[in-house]
Amino acid sequence: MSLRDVILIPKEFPQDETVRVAAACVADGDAVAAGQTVLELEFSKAALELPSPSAGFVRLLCAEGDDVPVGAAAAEIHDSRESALARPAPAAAARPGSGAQPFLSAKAEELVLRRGLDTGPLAHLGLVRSADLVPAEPAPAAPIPAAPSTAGDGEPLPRAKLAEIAALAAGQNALASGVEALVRLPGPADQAALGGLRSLFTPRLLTLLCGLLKRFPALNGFYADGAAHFHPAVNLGYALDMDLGLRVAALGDLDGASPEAARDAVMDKIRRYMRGRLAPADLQGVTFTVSDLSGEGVDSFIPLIGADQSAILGVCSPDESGRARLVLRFDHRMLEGRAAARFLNALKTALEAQST
Amino acid sequence: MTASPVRTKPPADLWLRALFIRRLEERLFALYAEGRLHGTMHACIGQEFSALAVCGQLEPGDAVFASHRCHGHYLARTGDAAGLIAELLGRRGGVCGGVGGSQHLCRDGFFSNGIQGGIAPVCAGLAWARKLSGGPGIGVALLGDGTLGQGVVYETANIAARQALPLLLVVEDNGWAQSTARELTLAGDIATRFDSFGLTRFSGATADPEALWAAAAEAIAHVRGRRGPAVLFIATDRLCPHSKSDDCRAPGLVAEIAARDPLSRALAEHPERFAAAEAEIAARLDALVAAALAQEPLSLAEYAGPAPEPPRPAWTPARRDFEGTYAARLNAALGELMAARHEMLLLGEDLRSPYGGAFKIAAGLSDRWPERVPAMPISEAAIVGVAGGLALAGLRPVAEIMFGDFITLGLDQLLNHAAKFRRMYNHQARCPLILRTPMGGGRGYGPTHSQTLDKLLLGLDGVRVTAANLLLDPLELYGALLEQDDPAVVIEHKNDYARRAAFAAQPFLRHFAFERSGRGWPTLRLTPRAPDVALVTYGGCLTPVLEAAQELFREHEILAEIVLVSCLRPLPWPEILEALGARRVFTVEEGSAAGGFGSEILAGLAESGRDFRLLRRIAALPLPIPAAPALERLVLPNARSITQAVCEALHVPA
Repeated sequence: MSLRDVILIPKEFPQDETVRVAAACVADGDAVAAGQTVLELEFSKAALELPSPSAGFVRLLCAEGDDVPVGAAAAEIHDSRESALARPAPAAAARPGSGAQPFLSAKAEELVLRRGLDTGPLAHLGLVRSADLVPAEPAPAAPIPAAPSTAGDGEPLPRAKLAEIAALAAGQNALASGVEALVRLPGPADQAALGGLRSLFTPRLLTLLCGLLKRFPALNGFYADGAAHFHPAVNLGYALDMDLGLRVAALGDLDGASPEAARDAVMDKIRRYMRGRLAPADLQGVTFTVSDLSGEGVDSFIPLIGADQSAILGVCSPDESGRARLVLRFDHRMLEGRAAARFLNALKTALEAQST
Repeated sequence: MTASPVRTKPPADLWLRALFIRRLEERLFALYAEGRLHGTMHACIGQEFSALAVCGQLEPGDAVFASHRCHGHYLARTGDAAGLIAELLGRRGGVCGGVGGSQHLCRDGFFSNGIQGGIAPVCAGLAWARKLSGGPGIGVALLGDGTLGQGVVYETANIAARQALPLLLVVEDNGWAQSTARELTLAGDIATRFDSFGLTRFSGATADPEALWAAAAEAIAHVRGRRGPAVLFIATDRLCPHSKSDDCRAPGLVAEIAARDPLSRALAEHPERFAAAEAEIAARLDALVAAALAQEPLSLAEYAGPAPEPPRPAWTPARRDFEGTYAARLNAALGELMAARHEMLLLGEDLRSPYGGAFKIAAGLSDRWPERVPAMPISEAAIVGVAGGLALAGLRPVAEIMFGDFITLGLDQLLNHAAKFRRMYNHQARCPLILRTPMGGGRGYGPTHSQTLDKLLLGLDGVRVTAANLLLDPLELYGALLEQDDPAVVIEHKNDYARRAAFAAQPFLRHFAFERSGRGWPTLRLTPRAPDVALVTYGGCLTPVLEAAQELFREHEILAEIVLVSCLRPLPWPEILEALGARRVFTVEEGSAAGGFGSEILAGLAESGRDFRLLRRIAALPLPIPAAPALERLVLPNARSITQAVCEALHVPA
């Protein structure tokens, strides 16, 4: 009841890496004589009959039409039919994804390679598309463009953009309101380099925000299903958009941190963003976002609130008089204009107090 | 076995029985004229002694298969005038509940069908079953001279002689095929045609009823004595039209025929011998007609029977791996079933050792069961017909059609015989033959050996059409088909034979749930998380569809779920609808699109009321399948073209 011989694919021609199985002359369990042809092989230059080295019962390891590597086992010769036909226990019908390595689309694989991402955290996804790598939250089923209307086919959006749209659509922008305030910048250096983090204005803003958000929990929460939800901790988000797709980097709670430490935290995220090395953990769990367009020469803009957040702070470019506009956009279901105004004024006061 | 003694003398009441048949058919004509008999009928007036000589001296275990002109045969065999009259009047008391009418009768081993030559192989199958049972029964097929124009008769004679079947072919030669004289259509000497097959020939004529009786007795005894099949030629005259108003014979000729008719002459010469019988017959017919007319016709519910319970989906995990090639699995399954079920036979061309069939599916089986895997000639029509007869007799034949392209040759047997028997005989017969046949291209076999022709079968009522696939255990499929009572077809894909089901280790498919519905011919659903599209397919298309699914995901980030249907007719709708998650559905088949699997599926989806956003068929081009490999690849769907078709429909650059 055992294996007697293994028939290997011979190397007949140096250039052949694989060989086509032209025909299986016997079936599993068939009795074969020594020298009896088991398989007909097609090499690049000739056909060859592969004989059995001994008498016994055959078990084929390849099938007609297979391309088998040279040197691979093509068939086994057993000393009994039972042995040749012995079936391994049937594999359990596994549920999808159970312990399996994730299978990536070509685009996702390219992204992973480019960013050096660890695919371990993606195992729960099973089949991973590029869009799955983009947002902090698991992406909704990737939308497929619907059949075109009379407007023509349209230009298909990149998956990353579609994921961004999905994330923003999940934000609380429908009933959002806004308040604005002008804040005086401390000095010419800040005015010239506000967006580039060469001054400490923005890092100071970030540390102050983390403290203030604890006093205004409605701005560090979100509305859902008729209920106000409050995040137990502050995890400040900083929006990055430097031609590599919009990302919101999670900076954690910077309350009490030095402006230098806050600046380093932001710079670290920017460097990883630029190298494509932001990991899912770098993007997850943001509770409040800062969108800093102060380097883009805009007087004002309307930032969009992200998913599971109730507010976002926009930082605009400074004007000639050395003042920059702060825009607080907030979900009116979580708080009212007066509370938002108090928050913004508190921030302004603290910023101006620190810089003097 | 002991053959019954040959009774060369007819019974004393032979002439009265002939008179009864004639008066009954005349009454049927009268009822037709009165508008009470609907449809058509074919009377045997003038041929009554032929019916009596053959069917009046059979044994209870014999089988009779008559054709359209069968009233006399039926009465001679069963004496059931009440059932016959009610049948023709379309009443529930009719022998087939009024479903069959004049030419589709069934009772106690008597059958008739309106497709003439096609009854011959079915009767051969009935005879074969009697031979296998070891009893003395025989099969008697009643043909006319016109039937000799149909080739399947000769296929049957050949098989009957080769297999030494206890089959008696009776040719009632009245010289006319409907309205056309035999001399205009049949060449040569029709009487000697069967000599070359080795059938023993007997002959007689209705002009001499006593001698005819003796000839029929001899022929029956010959066949019952297992001395080989025989043919009995009976010269006779038809006094009436073929049907009703199609007698184009010259009036002088009809008068001449009437003048020489023995029954007419006896009635004219000795009216006193028949006077009492005439009165008795008239009274009996009055009563039978009145009784029949008092009956209601069958209701539709009674005719159709209870609607089959729609399959209630119940999904369980499906196996992903099976040991061995599909050919080896199928061979082993058939062997296992043959061992367990002695009533199972394999019929087909080239099945016997050492060849084992063109695709080796029957390899080794004829060594184990030589009698149950007989050598068959290239006679697809007769093979299917014989299988039908065997199945009618309670055996379980599995017939192989070597290439699916040849199924057209057996289609009459499937469509007009096997598929009809159960209903047209009002549930008095079952014909669970199984036809298995490989279809599919990709091997360069060209236009007539590569086709996928299931579309020809999808519209067949009364036939279960299944498609084997790598994920379906052939032991389960055939085991279930052998347990049910309708004719069934199993379509295999010849490329599947060398394939193995080994999906558990495939990295892409590991992220799919493999699930299946209930026993026998389950629907399989292969489901990933949140699919964008569904690919609905069957059989051998599984392989290219899986390749396409992987390419769609890998290269285009389009995720496809796969619904693999195993029963193409009737389609298991509740299962298909429940299996479908995506709202963009593509069907994939290897035949061309018109009137095929995809058309049926998409029609059903459209009728389902569900909100599908995209319904598309992916199929072969409507061209003969070319042998040249590059051309063949362009005509048939493959993984690449499936991927392209999906991308195109979704407006994604392929």
